[in-house]
Amino acid sequence: MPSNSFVEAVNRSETNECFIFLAEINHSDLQEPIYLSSDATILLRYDGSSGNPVYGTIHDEKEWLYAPFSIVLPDSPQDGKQPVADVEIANTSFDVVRALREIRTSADVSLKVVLSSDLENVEYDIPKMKLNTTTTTMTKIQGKLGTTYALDEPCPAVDFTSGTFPALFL
Amino acid sequence: MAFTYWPSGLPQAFQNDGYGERSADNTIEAKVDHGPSRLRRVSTANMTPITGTFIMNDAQKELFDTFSKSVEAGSFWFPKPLDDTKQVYVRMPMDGISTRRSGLEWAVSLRLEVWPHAEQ
Repeated sequence: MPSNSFVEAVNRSETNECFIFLAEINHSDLQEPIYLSSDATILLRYDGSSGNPVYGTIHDEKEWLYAPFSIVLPDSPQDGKQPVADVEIANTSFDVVRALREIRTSADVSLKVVLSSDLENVEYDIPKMKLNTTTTTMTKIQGKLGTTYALDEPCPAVDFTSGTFPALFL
Repeated sequence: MAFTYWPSGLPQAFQNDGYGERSADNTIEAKVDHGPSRLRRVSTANMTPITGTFIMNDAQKELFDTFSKSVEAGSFWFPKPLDDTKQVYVRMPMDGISTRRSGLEWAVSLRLEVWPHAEQ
């Protein structure tokens, strides 16, 4: 339930309140989830190799690394397909790129919105979505966010491929 | 991790004359068809631009040129303007202007960007 401060900040034409987006990327291939923040709220530390400051947000006793990201919400669904959102994450950390490259299937992404005046209170929680088709360039990481579409799921659920049944293909 | 520092052989402070600071821009402005535009805060911290001029002799200018090449894509600790007891972490966009003055001096005008919260 959004707080009164959030509702007031959303509705005012000018506000000093800053909406901070927090993204948690999770996948069984990852050793631990990736936590990203849209805001450089505090200085966390200095990078071990470059010495540059590493910024982020402390929320829920975790460090959410500052990596500016944007999400373009989809238009109305067409052709009976599930709507997908385009997400762009600034390519600021090699650790994030390396972790995303290790993922072979869709990752789960959860989004939260908090206010800069109260970093602990989650104002808006967007349900878990799937991050697909990630492409990485020197400046950004792009992907598509959507929910699981039951009609796109393979049936039967398991294909006999060299990946799933390597012994069959010796 | 090895930090880079502003060389001790260079002037440690900008000239008072012409020193300038600009507030970090943390807002986004939305234009409307009629009436005043809308302004919202989009971040809590951003780089703070500062500008100023150093007067250098030929040897210092040569040292500055070597140093600026070495930090072309990097940041370094710089004596905090108006407070020589502290240092701030800055990066230097390559748009400085060096002007030859009379008396074998150089006036080197620089724009630095100060990282937020990075001070020692």
